[in-house]
This record gives sequence, structure tokens and C-alpha cells, in this order.
Amino acid sequence: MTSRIEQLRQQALEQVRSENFDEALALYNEALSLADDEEVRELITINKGHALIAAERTGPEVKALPMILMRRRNAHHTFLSAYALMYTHRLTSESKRAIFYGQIALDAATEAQQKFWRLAVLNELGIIYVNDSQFAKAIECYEEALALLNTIGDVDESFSRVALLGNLGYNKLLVGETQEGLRLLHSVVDEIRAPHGKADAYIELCYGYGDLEQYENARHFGQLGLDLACEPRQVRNAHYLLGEAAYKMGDIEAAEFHFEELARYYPEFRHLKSLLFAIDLRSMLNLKL
Amino acid sequence: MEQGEYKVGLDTLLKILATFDLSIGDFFDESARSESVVQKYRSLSPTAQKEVESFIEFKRAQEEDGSWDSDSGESEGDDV
Repeated sequence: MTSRIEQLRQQALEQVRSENFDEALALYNEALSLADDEEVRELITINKGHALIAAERTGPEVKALPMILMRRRNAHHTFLSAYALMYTHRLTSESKRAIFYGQIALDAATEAQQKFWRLAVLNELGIIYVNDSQFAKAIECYEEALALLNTIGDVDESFSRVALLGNLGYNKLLVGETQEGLRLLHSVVDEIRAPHGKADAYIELCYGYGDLEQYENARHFGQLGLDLACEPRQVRNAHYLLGEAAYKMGDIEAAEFHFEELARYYPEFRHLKSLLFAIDLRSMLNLKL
Repeated sequence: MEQGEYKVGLDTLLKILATFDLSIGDFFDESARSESVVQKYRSLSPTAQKEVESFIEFKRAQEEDGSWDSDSGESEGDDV
């Protein structure tokens, strides 16, 4: 690969990391216009497909990914194309396909002896398994990823570790290992910098303490989660869990408030509040979805 | 999915339940009516409560006998 093409590709990758997708796509187009070698063109096509998926768009490069994967030119291209296909199927909630491509990406990472690739796939697969209610498998992925992280020395991996431990903690709550789940979440919650991630962790702590019937703690963390909530999913989850905890404590006024706030999202559901007072939905709930 | 337990997001769950809103409404209306009847019963004196219980038993026996026409308020073939 000529230095100019590689320079453009690296600049584009940097723009994708900064979420400047239009700039990245323009750089990839320029790189493609200069590239003659088929292998180089294939790599840039995969990279551009990644950028399009990250930008939640589609295009010929995304559609080319299954064909590139079948070609299996080398482990790197196989990994990248399978990873992109796993990711895009996760976004469209096609769990079975996402898992299928995730396994291919995992095998390619193993074949290439690339620990970071393997780490990235395991984290993604964990998320997909959670979304598909396969919590034991998600735990396997996160535990393997954490074990792998311990073998990689002297790298700035604090974010990965925090994310992995947080995800593992939530899964432990879902399989009934509540104390362990809470311990893991507490071990990382103060290290989470992004309000979005922190809100999720607080709401998960609220959920866990609710399981232990420690409703004061549940309400404390639920309120912290609600204060930081960045998206409707988090606001709804926080109001629901806070309402449930308040109801269990006999604080009907607070329960009414939170259930009413939740009911505002569903104006057509006339009896929602009555239903929430009558039925505990927590065992059916996945807070990540 | 494991152990037959599938968990969904709160939004999805509530949207599913919203499709049953009408029957849920019937359920809660019925519950409210039952609660009201029980409250009225409890407000009666012990003697009046016994009379109500006797009347309920009388009505149950009539319905089980099958000869009672609930619309007319009279039993069929009653020659009195």
C-alpha cells in the first residue's frame, strides 16, 4: 500500500473515531480512487463499510461485506468484515445473525493471535447475548474478556475494564447473583465518566437493591440514575424502578408520582398505573433494551 | 434464551400490555366493584351479615337447582 493511500486511510479512521463521518467517507473515497491493488481496495471498502454502519447509513460498501467475508482473503479482512456484520445486525436486533458473524470474527481473531480483536468481539458478543436473554453466555464472554485483558500488559485499558466489569455486574444481577453483581457495579461506578454510562450503572444498582428488598438503597441509586438519565429508556426504567421501590416501602404518594411519569410515555394505555400497582414486572425486564 | 426466561425492554413490555388495555380495564373495574361489595358487607351489623350470607346461600341453591329464571325473578312452574 502506498504511503499516500495509507495516510488517507489512517486519517479516515481517526475521523470515524471522532464521529466525523462525512469527512471520513470523503477520505475513503479519495483513497479508493488512488488504490489499484485488489487487497488494498478490499481493506478500504471494509473500512468505509464500518464508517457507514457507525453513521447508521448504508451503501454499496456495506452490501459488499458478506461477499468480502466469503472470500476470506486473509484473517484481518475476515475479522473486520465479520465484526462489521455482527455490529450492524446487533443494531437491527437480529441477534442470531449477529452471533453467527461474531463467532466468525472471534475465530479470525484467534487465528491471527490478536488479543485486542478478540477483546472487542467478546465485548460485542456479550452485549448481543444479553439482548437475546442468554445471560450465562454473556457472563462467559465478559469473564473471558477480563481474563484476556489481564494478559495484556502496560496499555491504557481502564475504559475497557470498567465497561466489562459493569456489564458483567449487570448480568450477575440477572442470573440471581445479586450480591456479586452489586459488588462489581460498585467497584466501577465512580470510574464511569460518561453520564450515559453512569446513569445505567446507577439504575442497575437500583434494580439490584430492589432484588435484595433494600428499598432505601434502591431509591437512592434510582434517583441518582434518574438525575443523570440521558435517553427515554433510562428515564422510563428509573421511574418504573423508583415507583416499584416506593410502593414496596408503602410510600404510595411517591409510587403514584413515578408511575404517572412513566404513564406519560403511554397516553393511550389508560390503565397503566393501575396495572403497575397490581403487577411487579421486574422479573420480565431487561434494562439494556 | 435460557431456562425459558426471556426478558424484554420496559418499552416493549408496556407496548405489549397496552394491547390488552381493554381487558385489563375490565379486570380493574371488576376488582373495584368486588371491593365495593365487600366494603358494604363489612359495614353491616353481624346479624345483617348473617342474613346476607343466608340470602347468598339461598340464591346459590336456586341457581344450582337450575329451575330459577333470573330475568323474571320467579321460578318456572311455580304454582303459588
